[in-house]
Order: sequence, then structure tokens, then C-alpha cells
Amino acid sequence: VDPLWVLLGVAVPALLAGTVLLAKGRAAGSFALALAVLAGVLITFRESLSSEVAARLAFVALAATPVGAIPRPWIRLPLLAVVSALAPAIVLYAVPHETLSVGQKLGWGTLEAAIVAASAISIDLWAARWQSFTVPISLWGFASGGSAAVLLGHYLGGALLAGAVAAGLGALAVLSWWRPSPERLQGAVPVVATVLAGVWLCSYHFADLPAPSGFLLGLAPLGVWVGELTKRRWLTPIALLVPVAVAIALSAHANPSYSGE
Amino acid sequence: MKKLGFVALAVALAAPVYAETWKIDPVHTNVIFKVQHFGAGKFIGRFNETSGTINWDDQDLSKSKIEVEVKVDSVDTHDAKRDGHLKSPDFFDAKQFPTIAFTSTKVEKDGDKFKVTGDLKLHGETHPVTTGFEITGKSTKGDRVGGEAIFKIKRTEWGMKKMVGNDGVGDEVELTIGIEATKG
Repeated sequence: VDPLWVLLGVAVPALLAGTVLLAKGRAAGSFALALAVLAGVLITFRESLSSEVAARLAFVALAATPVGAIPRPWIRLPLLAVVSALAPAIVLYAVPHETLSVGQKLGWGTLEAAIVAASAISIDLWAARWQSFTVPISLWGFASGGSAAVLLGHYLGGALLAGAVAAGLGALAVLSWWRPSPERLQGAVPVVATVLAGVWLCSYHFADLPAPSGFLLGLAPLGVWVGELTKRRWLTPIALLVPVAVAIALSAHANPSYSGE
Repeated sequence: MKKLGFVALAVALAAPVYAETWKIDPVHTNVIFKVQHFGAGKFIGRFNETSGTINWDDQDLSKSKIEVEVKVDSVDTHDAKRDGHLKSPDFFDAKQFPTIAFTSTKVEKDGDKFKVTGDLKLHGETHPVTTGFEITGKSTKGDRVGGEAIFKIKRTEWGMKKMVGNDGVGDEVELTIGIEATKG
């Protein structure tokens, strides 16, 4: 693997997102992360745009961008639930009928869309309530850790796309510390939550991400409720990131590394 | 008249059969690939599950047809972890494109061997290929025949464009298909 392309796949999304994030407001956050995803897709899948299912997650980012810009939660959250069904639909559509029948796809699709929607809405509400630097840092850990689990599941392309999202979140974390804007942070959540969920789904259905790791990554965002319900806010990032660490360990256990391709 | 009819039937039965259908024996058929790794060694792997049929007509080769199907999931490089990576979307994308298929479109005589042209479907893309084909032998009973085709493809032409080159895996892949088939 050419290290230059790996570097570009992380640096370009971070720089593009960082530039847009100099502006404040929900639309800036949403557009910046969508730009990071699009740059990640174009760089990582530059030679396989037509065949790579993960490349189609760019459409998820495009669909989630206007949702992130909507300030009113009673409009945004139902739309976020609808957009959450897009990633499972894109991924399952590409799974051949020999592998999953139409009925099985409907079953899987319903379950996956419900998990993605519950997770995306949880992160959205968390970001709205907390409005702090902890949110982008925790989400950066979530994306980076998930990327590691995907890489261990033998899917470099998926890992790099999650890495592009992590790069955008890194830029968001820096800007949230330097020039705080709760709206900008909240605007980024729909793109981040739906695209990352799509990467986990691709890695489970098309590569070797073990099912338990996939479920843990998919359900990890629900951990944000632990801090809310127990009134111990410090627990929230831990509850988000511990399942990610377990997902990495399970992926490593199921797929011991080897040297080279 | 009755005698004449009997003679005609006897002649018909004694006539040699030129067109035969053979079924590929998956246990004795090998699909092997050879590709350069990190610009260094020629790495060899194989696919363990192959099926297909051969319709062979010695008298009229234009009626001959070879069909081979390989299960991508059966890729075997003597390392389960590497096999997993080869099946992933970084390489074969086995879950999206579960089979490799070859269907001949033309069989021609080429000296004491044959030249076979056909469509190779790999990684969801179909492109024409031409290969030499040699009948390697026939069993004593005549119920089993062997053949071999060796040809090269560029994997990027089939959309397998990742990790190509000296920092990864070569573009040119040599394929050896050693077929054993039984009368179908």
C-alpha cells in the first residue's frame, strides 16, 4: 500500500473539513463532515468507485448533510431516522441473492436500520445536551477505534474511509476547542453517525468484521445514555468507547494479523 | 427389407461418436494463480471449488464449448488470514462477486493443440480472453479426459485495481487451469 495515498486519505479530509469548520453554525458542521467523507471516498476508492459498495456511502453523506443543518429537533430527528435506513439499503442491495434472500435482506435491513437510527439519534441528543469538547474527542475515538476493528477484519478500504471520518472529527475537535460552536458540532452528527454505521455494515457483509464486533460498533453510541440515566456524565465517553475497545479485541482475536497482502 | 433395416441399425451403432459432453471433476481439477508479491517472489494460490462442462466435437470444433465456474470463496493460499483479505473488497470482493466464470465462444485447432477464446467474468466484469488449450490425456477406459490451459490476465482490466505494483501485488496474473472431466 502506497503510504502517500494513506496520508492523503487522512490529511485531505482533515484540511477540507478544518477549512469549512472555520465558519460557525450547523450547516458548517454538516457540510464539513460531508466534504471529509467525499474526499475520503474519492481518494480511497479512486480506482474502484463503480464496484466498491463502501464508495456509495458518499450518497449517505449527501443525504445526511441537509438533515444536520436542520435546527429543530422534531423535524431533524424523524428525518435522521429515515436517512438511517439508507446505509443498510445500499449495503444489502449489493449482497447477492445467493447469500441473502429477499426476506432475509428485509429482516436484516429492518434490524440494521433500527440500530443505525437509534444510535444516530442518541449521538444527536447527546451532542445537543453536552455541547462540549468531549463530544468530538469521544466521537474521534469511536471512529478511529472502529477503523482499527475494520482493518483487523481485513478491509483496508473500509478502515481508510472510517479514518477519513475520524480525520474530519479531529479537525472538528481542534476547532471546538479553539473556536467553540455547539451548533457546528451538532450539525456534524448525522453525517458522522450514518456514514460510520455504513462502514461497519460493509465490513460485516463484505469483509471479515465479526458479527459481535459489528453489533458492538453499531450499538456503542447507545452507551451515551449510561451517563445520562445514572447522572454520572463522566461515564458517557467510557460507555461509548469501551464497546469499541471490545470490538477491536474481538476482531483481532477472530482475524490474527499476517504480514503483507 | 427387415434385413436392410437391421444392417442400417448396426452401422449406426458402430459409427464413432464425435461430439461428447464431459463434466468437470472438481476433485481432480485445479485452478492455480501465480502473481508477483511486493515486486519480489512469484506467489502461488489456488481455488478449491470448480465446476463446469465441456461439450467437445472433434469433427466440428465450432460446436465445442467449454464452461468453467470457480467459487471465489474457495481461494486457498495456505494462510487463512490472507485468504480472508483476498476475499474482502480490497481484492476479489467474494461476497459481492461470488463466482469467476469462463464461457468459451470459439474453439480452434492450433497445431497439435487448440486455441480457445471466451468471456472471463471476474470481479463483476466480463472481458474476452484467448488461451492455448491442450488435451493432456484420456483414461484407458475412455471415460475420463484431461486438459490444461495456461494464460495471463491483467487484474486491473477486471476492476481489481487496489494494491497494485511493487508495494503490493502485481497486475499480471498467470492462471493455470488443469481440468479433469468425466463423461457427463
